Amino acid sequence: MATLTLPVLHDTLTTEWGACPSGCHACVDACADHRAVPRIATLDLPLVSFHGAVVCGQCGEPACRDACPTGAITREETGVVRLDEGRCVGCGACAVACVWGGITLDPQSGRAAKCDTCAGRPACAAACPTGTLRWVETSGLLRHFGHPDPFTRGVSLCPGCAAELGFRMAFRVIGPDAVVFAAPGCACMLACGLGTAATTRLPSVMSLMTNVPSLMTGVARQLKRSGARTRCVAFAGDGTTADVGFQPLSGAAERGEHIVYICYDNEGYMNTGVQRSSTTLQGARTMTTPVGPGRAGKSQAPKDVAVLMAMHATAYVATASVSHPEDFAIKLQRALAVEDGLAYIHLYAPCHVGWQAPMDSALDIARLAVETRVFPLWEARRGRFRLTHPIPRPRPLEDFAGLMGRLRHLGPAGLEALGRTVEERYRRVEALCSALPWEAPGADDEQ
Amino acid sequence: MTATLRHVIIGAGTAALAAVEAIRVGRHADPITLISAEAETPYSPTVLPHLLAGRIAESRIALRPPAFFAGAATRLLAGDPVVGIDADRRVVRLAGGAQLPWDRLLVASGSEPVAPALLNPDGVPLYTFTRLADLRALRARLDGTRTVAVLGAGLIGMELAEALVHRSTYAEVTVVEQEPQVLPVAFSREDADSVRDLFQSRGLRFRLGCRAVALERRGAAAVVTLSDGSALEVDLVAACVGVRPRLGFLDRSGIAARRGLSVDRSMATSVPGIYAAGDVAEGPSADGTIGCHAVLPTAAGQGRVAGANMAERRVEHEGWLPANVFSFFGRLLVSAGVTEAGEGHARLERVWDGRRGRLLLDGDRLVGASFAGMPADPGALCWLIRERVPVKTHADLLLDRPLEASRWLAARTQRGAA
Repeated sequence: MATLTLPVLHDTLTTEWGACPSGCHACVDACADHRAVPRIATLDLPLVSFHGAVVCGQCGEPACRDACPTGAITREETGVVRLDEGRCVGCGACAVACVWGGITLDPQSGRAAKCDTCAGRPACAAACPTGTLRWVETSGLLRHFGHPDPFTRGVSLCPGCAAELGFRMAFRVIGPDAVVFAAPGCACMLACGLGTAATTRLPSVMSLMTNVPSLMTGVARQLKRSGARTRCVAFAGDGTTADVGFQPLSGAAERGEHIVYICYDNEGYMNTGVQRSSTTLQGARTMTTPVGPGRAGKSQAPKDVAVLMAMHATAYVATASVSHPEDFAIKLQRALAVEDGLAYIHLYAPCHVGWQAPMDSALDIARLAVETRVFPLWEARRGRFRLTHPIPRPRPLEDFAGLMGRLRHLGPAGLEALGRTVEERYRRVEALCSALPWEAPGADDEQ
Repeated sequence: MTATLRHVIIGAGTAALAAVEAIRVGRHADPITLISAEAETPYSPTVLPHLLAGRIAESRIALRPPAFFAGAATRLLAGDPVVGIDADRRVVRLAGGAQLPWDRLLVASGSEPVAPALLNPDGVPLYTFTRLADLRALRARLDGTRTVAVLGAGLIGMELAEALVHRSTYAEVTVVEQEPQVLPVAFSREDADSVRDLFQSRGLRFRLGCRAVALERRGAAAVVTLSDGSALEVDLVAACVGVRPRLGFLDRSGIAARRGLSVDRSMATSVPGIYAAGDVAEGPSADGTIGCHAVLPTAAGQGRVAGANMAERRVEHEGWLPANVFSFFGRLLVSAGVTEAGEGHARLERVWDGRRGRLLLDGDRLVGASFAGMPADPGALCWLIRERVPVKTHADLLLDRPLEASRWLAARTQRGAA
């Protein structure tokens, strides 16, 4: 099997466009201090009152590399697109291919020149007096997602599925020393494979919707008895968690079982044809909460399962969203660090199929849910709360509702009613944060 | 995703390798077989003049590291040319007798030299310059060669001539071109004349506006008779009068072809499952005209698009855009878009101190730009032309400071600013 290359994040140079002080060439000078030909250029155009810098953006699929006739340009694992000047014949194909001003053919040397980020310590950014040119360390995220992808092959969920992405993220953090528990729902396709073929690299257990935490209890206790550090991790939907299987979950939390339970919340029974669940958003159209004369989608407010779980004085409870991967990864690490009880993460995972939205919209929806306060991000240790992503100025709810067909029927009155419910839920979490504030005993809590 | 697909790629150049990478984005286990007619590590013919001039060693021209082909799923068959394809049975037939079945086929066989139309009753050897084997044959003959005639002053002919001069100060090189200028099509008459002057100052000779009509042997030398009645006596004759898509092996395959293989924006040919990319493809340009465009960035872009579609991701090519860079003796020539003004085009030009800048505008927008003897960014100029960025109000700035102004105008639209 060929080597699997996954797109990953890399540290990068960024420029704030047009924010350079006029006449400043500090970046070019710093680069030229140790290069024959500077690899960053300033655009000095006083006639149009513009002064800025351009530098290679280290493309993920570099057009310059593809066009180079000598293989002189390569993309390294660090994300640096490197030009081996000794192999450059100065043909200029790279400069034709790059539309970003990232590579320049120098007629004097007869060679091209481009930025190599000074091996991650760019002299230009260090010399920039205004911070316009910055070295941004995006690779911090990768330190959290350090494990290989959990899937052995393609999965059979719908294209654009946020739950699949959530599963992938979760097990890149958790790693291979875990047993996955799943119940009937979309995610059983992830955990239990297809026919006789496994889709994950992890051992998995398929149970009923009514007994996931009970089954985990037995396995976790036996693993502990045998001295194994293997973690039991549930990846179950909102139907299993909030409705059908809530009682055993509540019991396991109260008993303090040493398990990690991730509920991916797509707000409904999606694999059986989009029926409402108790977490379905108020006003949402589903097969069982239709829209028609006298009916305008779901009339009840959604059940806040995460708050209910925190009310068990559970060791660790958090909400997370696929749109905020770093926040999710940090919370997963806190959940894994729990030694003396249950950890619960409620993961927001929009279902574009059931929510009647475009295939590529799940992450946009998830991000807007956070930014409109529809889905507040918070965490609680033993019932002590804090918001991890406060939203002081929420975006208008219309922006969120406009992304999906399931809320399209809502008129001003319906949106206002939904807005009241959303606001009430956010204020409840805010009130919990001030009444029962988070206590930070560990060193890992500096965010 | 559907079951495993068997990909066969005829060719192992820029377009072929870009296609492999595009297929691999989504399909890691699909077997891919590249078939190269030449028993060489994949290379680009662009390097030939640089090898001849000694600017780069043959050991350093591999387009991809050996590990690229080391995986079980990507296989290179080098030195066994394709002799035919059977579109109904979906197999490729090789000269060695093997038959390779495919589910997706990419024809990226590049181009081949056109033979000059001349009388050659003595069978004087005509050296072409599009393959490594050509280079080796030429190099073997160069010791003791004092005079060379290069037929054709296109990019290949000019680069060969420059390399011959660069390599040996004793070589006397004459370039023969039937057009009245060097580098026809690629550069404007004025820019081309500046190149000719520069080459002449380095000792090269030109016979423009006439072509070779006959060759005959005279002892160890050859006599080239030109269409103006004059004659050249030289030790060696190189023929660089043009290239055409290499598709002779596709006779009776049923794939629609004109000059090259006809492709749509997905690089699909008329036969389902068969794609074409690079020099061999005749497809849409940025403004929708149809043609072959044998330059590296186009080959790479078409290869990427073909590979993506072979892997069942629907992607369309943005269309090729003429663009050329020519850099010799420290002088840079850059051209993007059309090189001569068409009907209704405004032509703005500035010439000073050996520099020449020219913009061709259609109303507000740029349709062609060329700069000689000054820094310019061909990629940014291509962006302005392709994206129809209004530039007229900044035309003076573009002519004064092409590198910075083109990058500024391009970046403004790339960053979503007006």
